[in-house]
Amino acid sequence: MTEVRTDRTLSREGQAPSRPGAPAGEVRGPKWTKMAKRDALAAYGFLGPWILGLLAITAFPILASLYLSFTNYSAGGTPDWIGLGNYQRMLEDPRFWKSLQVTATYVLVSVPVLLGFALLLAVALNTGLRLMPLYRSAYYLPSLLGGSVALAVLWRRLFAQEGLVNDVLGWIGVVGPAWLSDPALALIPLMVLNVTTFGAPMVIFLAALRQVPQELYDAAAVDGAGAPRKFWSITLPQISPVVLFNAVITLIGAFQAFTSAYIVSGGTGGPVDSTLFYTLYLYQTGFNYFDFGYASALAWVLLVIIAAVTASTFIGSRRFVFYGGDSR
Amino acid sequence: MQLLTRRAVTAAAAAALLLTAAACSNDSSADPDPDSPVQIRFAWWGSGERNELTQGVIDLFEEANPDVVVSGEPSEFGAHWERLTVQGASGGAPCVPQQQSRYVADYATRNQLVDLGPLIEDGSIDVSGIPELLLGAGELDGTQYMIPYGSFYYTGFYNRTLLEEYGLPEPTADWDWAEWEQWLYAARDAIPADMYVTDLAAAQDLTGLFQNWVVSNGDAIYGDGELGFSEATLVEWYDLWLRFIEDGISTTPQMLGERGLTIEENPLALGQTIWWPAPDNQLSQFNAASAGAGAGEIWMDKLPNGPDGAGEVLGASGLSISTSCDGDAEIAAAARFIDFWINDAEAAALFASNNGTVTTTEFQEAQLQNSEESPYVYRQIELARQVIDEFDPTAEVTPVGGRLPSDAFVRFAQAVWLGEQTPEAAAAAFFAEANASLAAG
Amino acid sequence: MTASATIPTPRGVASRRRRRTALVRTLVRHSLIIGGLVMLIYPLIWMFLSSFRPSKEIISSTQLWPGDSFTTENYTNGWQGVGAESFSTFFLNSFVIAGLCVVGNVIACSAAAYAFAKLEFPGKRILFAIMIGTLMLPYHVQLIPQYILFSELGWVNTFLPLVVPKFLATDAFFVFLMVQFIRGLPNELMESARLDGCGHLRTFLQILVPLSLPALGTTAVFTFIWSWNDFLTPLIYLTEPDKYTVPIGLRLFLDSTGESSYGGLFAMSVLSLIPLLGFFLAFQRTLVRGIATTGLK
Repeated sequence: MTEVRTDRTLSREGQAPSRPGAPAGEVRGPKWTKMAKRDALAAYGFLGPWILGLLAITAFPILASLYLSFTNYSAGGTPDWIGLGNYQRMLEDPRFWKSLQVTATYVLVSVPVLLGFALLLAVALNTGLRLMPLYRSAYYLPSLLGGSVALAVLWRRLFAQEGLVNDVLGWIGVVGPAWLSDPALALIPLMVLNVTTFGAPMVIFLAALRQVPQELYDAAAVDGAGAPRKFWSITLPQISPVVLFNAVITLIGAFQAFTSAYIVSGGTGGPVDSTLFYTLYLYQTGFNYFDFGYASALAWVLLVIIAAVTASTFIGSRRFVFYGGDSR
Repeated sequence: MQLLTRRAVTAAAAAALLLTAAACSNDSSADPDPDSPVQIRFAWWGSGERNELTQGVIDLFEEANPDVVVSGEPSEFGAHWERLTVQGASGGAPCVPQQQSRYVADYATRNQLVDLGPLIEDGSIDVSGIPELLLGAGELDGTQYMIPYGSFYYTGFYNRTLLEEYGLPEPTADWDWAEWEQWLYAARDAIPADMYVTDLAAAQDLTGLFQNWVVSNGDAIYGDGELGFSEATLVEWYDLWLRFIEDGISTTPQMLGERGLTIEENPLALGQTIWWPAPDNQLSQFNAASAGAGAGEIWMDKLPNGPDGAGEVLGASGLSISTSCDGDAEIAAAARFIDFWINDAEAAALFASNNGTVTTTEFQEAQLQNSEESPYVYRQIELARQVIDEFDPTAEVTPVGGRLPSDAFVRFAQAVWLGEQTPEAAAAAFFAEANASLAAG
Repeated sequence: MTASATIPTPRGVASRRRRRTALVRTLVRHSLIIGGLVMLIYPLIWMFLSSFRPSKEIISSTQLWPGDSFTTENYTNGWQGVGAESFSTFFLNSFVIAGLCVVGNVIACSAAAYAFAKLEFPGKRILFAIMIGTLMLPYHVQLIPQYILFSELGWVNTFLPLVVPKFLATDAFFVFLMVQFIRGLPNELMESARLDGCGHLRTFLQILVPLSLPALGTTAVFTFIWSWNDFLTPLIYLTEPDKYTVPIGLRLFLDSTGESSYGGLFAMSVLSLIPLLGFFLAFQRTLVRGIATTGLK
């Protein structure tokens, strides 16, 4: 077997893929070699289960929801075609705009903070501390609690007027407000809750950090690079595919956040819709008010928004993401 | 390397085996053997004691009807409706879903509930023991969709022990709203500074205290495809409670956001307030909770009367048959099950009005005469009968599109308490949203 | 290191000082990490300690330590569940479902990821975009059409609707995760395997899988955790209590219209964490085991 060349010769510019996020090159031109044909067949073989799942389990619900978004459907009747009616209704629906605003705030604030903590802790824990596996598991614990009712109950207690957060604030002389009752502040406990789940992307970052070849660092040390330089010029580029992944996934997850708001606000999105996540509004529209046509339209608008955000992230990543394995 | 391939193959085989096992083990319920008992599914909401009692009734039924097997599907209140919505929309609802007058219209008008009229007429379900009035709580536009087995209405709960301690008189059944207010203010002066007379959440329930107030003043909550009262009435209500907040009678909006949602966390059950309007069938649970918290005994009496009478509106929980129920044998079995609930003495005695006062008059008598009956159940039945006999209540089904007004009522009320909207603006916005929903439904 | 041959360095002092600063640095780092940790898992500690208090005290008390009211009744009573089935049934069901989901996802998603990351085929870009697209549709809207589909298949009240989709790689999240990981692997390894005559299947099983263990481990861990914590899907498909999973069982403890048992809820939530933690601890070594890219022959 040929020896693997070490990566000193690989540079950022030389390896960036031509299209952001797209698979590394495609078969271009009419040259269908036998090898290429075998490759394609094998690929479809490997993709077989996914394609089957796509057609059978994913496509139908997705297409059905698209169709329903153009109808007036309330579960048990027949769908009534109304064209763009639902979408027009959205434009004039104050709760729709409110939920967009709430979700946007939630995403814009909690996602960067979450990713920041994840990366920070991953780097801190990757230094070979002896208790590292223990710390890593411990930091991961909050993410294990997912849609836990128990945690949501405790979270409400934490942010109650007589709760711990206000007690701590009292130590530094700040009079704590009524977090859960003040529409201006009620989103904050939820954002904090989201940030505490940084353990999940952190674990992924850790796995990625582990894959960065040590010789790169050694070579850089020989060249006299200090820790910050190593971070910016070696670590970040090497794990950039994973940074992109974590960013996209965390964004998509935050846009679709549901359970925490549902439980902490008791399903209301209160007080006064200040914690009305978009998906919570969607849920209420469909499941409480049986307005499935409108709910489907809401879902598709969310999909378009998420797609736009994701696409811009991918395009923006063009300059920053470096796929080490792709060779020309 | 070979090991890995072998391991991979073994893993895949094991998975396939597990998968088949999982699939096969669940096929038994789909067995169409003609001699085996008829199987029907019954979904209800509840926890703890209620689940046990319900299961007890199921057991009694199966004993008396060995050719029917009832498989029970209990869940928590909210989850019950979520599940029913999805299952009903796709034809997978249980044969007998428990229903309630506040929700039944949403499912009935979407073709998810069977018209029980024919079954009543041919005697499969014998409703002769239930007063006409209570049957109305399961009827929509002349069609009977639900057979009520437990009726409820809102009463005023109060902490008897604390009232005695602070030397306050107990509420009576013939108060009017003015006397009620006086009593609230007197209570405020008598109780310690860290307690409140009542909880602001009492003002946010569209079909709770507010309903009594509106109906006893001559209006109704629901009209024909729109709300049955005026914006001015709502503004009056907002002003009343803004005054209560300011005068320290009710808890503050800040305390509202943190309040727990279970009965155990209700300020009345914790001894933090002394008056609270609630559905009458919760009296036992409130006392269990307050006993646990050492807060004293909870008792109840009617809500105040207005110029147009007591304004009592009865609701009910009951049983219906889902249109997903497939097969003549199954529907017949479901009918027999419902009939059992409302006509079997032993079952009624066991269930003891746990989910509302038993609607069959005969069983009310029986429970009243049962000396071992809990004093709270006794009070529940006694007061319910008094209300029905003396105060001319109505029994209503919340119309279609009625859930949104309920939720919106809370939202706009909170906006007013927090000062985010003026009462007039909030009332106008509420009416717009509510009427849109009721008209569309 | 920089000592010249003629002047002897006071190595003792310098190294002692270095050792001291190193020690201080380590201490500071550890205390910061632990400090952050405590803040983070305080609610969990609270939940754990509260599970040893009687239910009614949980509501009223604000103290952390149960002290005199310490009791294990929440565990014994809570285990009985609320209704016909006990938590032994719920835990068993959750295990079976989560286990099957892990197997399904690991196999199907890695296969699909291999195709997307390392193979060329017509339509690749479009299919990839579609795969990413499936991540973005909110779940609640697929709920009813999916329910119709599965009920037509007769799969309601079985574990099938929860498990079979995993074997069909419907969790695009993990396909995406593995694509990103696999892309980072050098092509040379696979190319040389091909040159040696390995078919795609052998390349996949014998080269790619061992190299991707961190990604596979991550997939396994997350699949297990998410599947374990999933509430809505089991709620609508598993109609009989003997098939309920742990989250459904937990929700039964709180009822806004009847009695609630916070003690049981906390106790069983604590117990529910244990398999999750165990699974995570067991697999975290795979996550750790990175590859040394030199010396790979």
